[in-house]
Amino acid sequence: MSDFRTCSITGLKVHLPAEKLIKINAVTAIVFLLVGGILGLLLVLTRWQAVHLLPPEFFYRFLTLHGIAMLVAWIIFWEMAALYLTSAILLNSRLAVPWVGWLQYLLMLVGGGLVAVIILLGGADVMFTSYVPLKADPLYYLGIILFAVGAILGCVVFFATLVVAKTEGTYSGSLPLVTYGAAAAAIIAIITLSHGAIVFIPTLLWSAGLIPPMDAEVYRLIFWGFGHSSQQINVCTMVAVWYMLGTLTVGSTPVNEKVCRTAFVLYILFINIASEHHILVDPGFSAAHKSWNTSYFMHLAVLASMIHAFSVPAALEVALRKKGYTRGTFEWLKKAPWGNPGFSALFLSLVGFGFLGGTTGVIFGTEQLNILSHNNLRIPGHFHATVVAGTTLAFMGATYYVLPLIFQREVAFPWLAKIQPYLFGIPIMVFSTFMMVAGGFGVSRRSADMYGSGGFSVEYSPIVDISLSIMGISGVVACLGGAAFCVIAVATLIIGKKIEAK
Amino acid sequence: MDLKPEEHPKGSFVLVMIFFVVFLALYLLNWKFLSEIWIVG
Amino acid sequence: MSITPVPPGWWKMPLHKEEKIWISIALIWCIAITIAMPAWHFVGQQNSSQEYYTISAEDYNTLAEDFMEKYKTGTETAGDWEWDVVTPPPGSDIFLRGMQWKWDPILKLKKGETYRLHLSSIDVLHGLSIHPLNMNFEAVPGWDYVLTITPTQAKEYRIICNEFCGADHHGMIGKIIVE
Repeated sequence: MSDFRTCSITGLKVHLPAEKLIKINAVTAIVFLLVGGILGLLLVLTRWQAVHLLPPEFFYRFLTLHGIAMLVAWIIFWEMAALYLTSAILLNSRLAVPWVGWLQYLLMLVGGGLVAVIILLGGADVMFTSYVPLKADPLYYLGIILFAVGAILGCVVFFATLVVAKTEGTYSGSLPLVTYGAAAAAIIAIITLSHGAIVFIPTLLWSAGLIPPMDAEVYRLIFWGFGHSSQQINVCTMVAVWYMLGTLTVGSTPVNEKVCRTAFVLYILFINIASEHHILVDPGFSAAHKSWNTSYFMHLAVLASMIHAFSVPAALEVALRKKGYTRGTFEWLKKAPWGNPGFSALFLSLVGFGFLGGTTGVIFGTEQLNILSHNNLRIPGHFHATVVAGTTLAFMGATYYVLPLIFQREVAFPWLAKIQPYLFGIPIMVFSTFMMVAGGFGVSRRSADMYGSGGFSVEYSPIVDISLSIMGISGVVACLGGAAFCVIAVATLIIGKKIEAK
Repeated sequence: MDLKPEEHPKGSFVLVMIFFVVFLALYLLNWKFLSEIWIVG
Repeated sequence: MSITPVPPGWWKMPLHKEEKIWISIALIWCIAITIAMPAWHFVGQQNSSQEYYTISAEDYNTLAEDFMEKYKTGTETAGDWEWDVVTPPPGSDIFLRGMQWKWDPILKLKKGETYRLHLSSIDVLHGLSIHPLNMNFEAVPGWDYVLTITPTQAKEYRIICNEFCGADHHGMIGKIIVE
């Protein structure tokens, strides 16, 4: 059993090949977060109209890379680490076929790297969505395909590990809730990444001049099966991470396993069709088709999120009440460990995702209400609340536990770690809110200059100026919060005090 | 899980009800905004 | 613990009162917001159109050019750009052509009158955003999207392109005049 060590903190058996893969995926994720974050700073300083930093060419180029680096690379690399953690480590098992895990890593690294280089060389100024017939270099599409195939392999390793753990009897009873949630995310991932492969293979061939272009609307339909559903992987993983952080920070147990697990099943069944809310103001689809699909089959996936919205804080509350904080309605909340970055990240992520991201997601994705939201700043406002204030912040909180448990080092600069979730989470919520306010007044997304370029000028409500300034300032502060996270993570790896293994 | 009366998640229930009211208000406000634009169909 | 395996029997655990109430509220809400969408097609006046046709970019372009020639009442310039000003009769079929990086033509419409707006693009995707109404629709090459519109306020509107369409995407700003 030389392939294992025993964790001195949790007593879990840690499979060393799995640990290596978790480390390398997590580190790569943080590198992409850093790259995306620097670009994010430049972009927010451009959209903050009073500063208006970048010329259009670089704005569009950096915006494309910012989307890919954050939405795809940072999050999916981190999710790969989470898949290996929740399978091999939590189940006390060996990781099945580690070489496939390495293949996953290499394909994603080569794919992600290729995409980043092509974008920076100016070969793919097409945005994250790369709608045909806007054309990018064939290598751009190839890079995305490699990345998607790599991520699918990571899911395969995850499921193979579940089978190994079951057959080798490394645990008894049902899967831990967190692993169950990760499994739901992996199922969604396979569905959505397959859409990516389906849509990008013909696009690659078209870009290489081998076949005629596909219909622009068909591309939009299938692309969003990848582009939005891949965000549902994040939602699902984030919810699993919430439950994990609840246990790690206050020792919580789900109040009702049946409820939580049923909600995850609702995600698997219904969340993918929701991608169609991107085509609500498009030709080619009937109203019945649009409202049925974008209502996630009677909004049952929304129901799942609303269930978690109660189950997650309820688990925390019950755990804290069992510790004796039973006075009144909110004593447990006051006495919660707010100085623990794992806990504060969890709670802020829950608030940001729910109040800002979740509500606006349902509203903007309502068939008719989408007329008011399509492609204006309300949309990036919405997804910065879900993917940044929600997913990214939750992953940051979890990283504060991955560092000691997997990297076996004490978190560096604990005083900074203590405030980092606030420094990042609160400004990003303000940022998202005011982005949505500006969007509500008709400010377009993905625009290098909302006043035009020498033709007709555009006038906006004075609220827009104020909103964009608040958005700019809070965006810059959020970048500082993100930078603090990267500094802590990197410093921990280099100078963090080693935790002795038993 | 068995809970004693004082261990019930009452606070979380209040929190989700606040969430629900916010959701409802934003939702209705958006329909109001929608009804103010041009007629289109 | 959510990170440790769960012993059998968890499926039979009853729900607590708070859970039951919240899940019931959430379920009713989800059904209500689903029904709201078809309902608005009957009680509301702002819906995404269901009328659309596939058409080649060339054919659409010919129709749009013919339309502009037929109802042209003047021209207008701003910066290096020049537009035809087109005044179609109420109730007619009108065209709004998206191209890199221009919305053609400048439409002059009458308040309270209904028009059949044919929206499309002859190159890449464009986004129609009527400003400051914040009404947004997608212009898709190969598809003629027919929006039956009735302007309800007299005003000079801008049309902002809000779907990224290349280098001068932000400069793609047109005009609709409602009298």
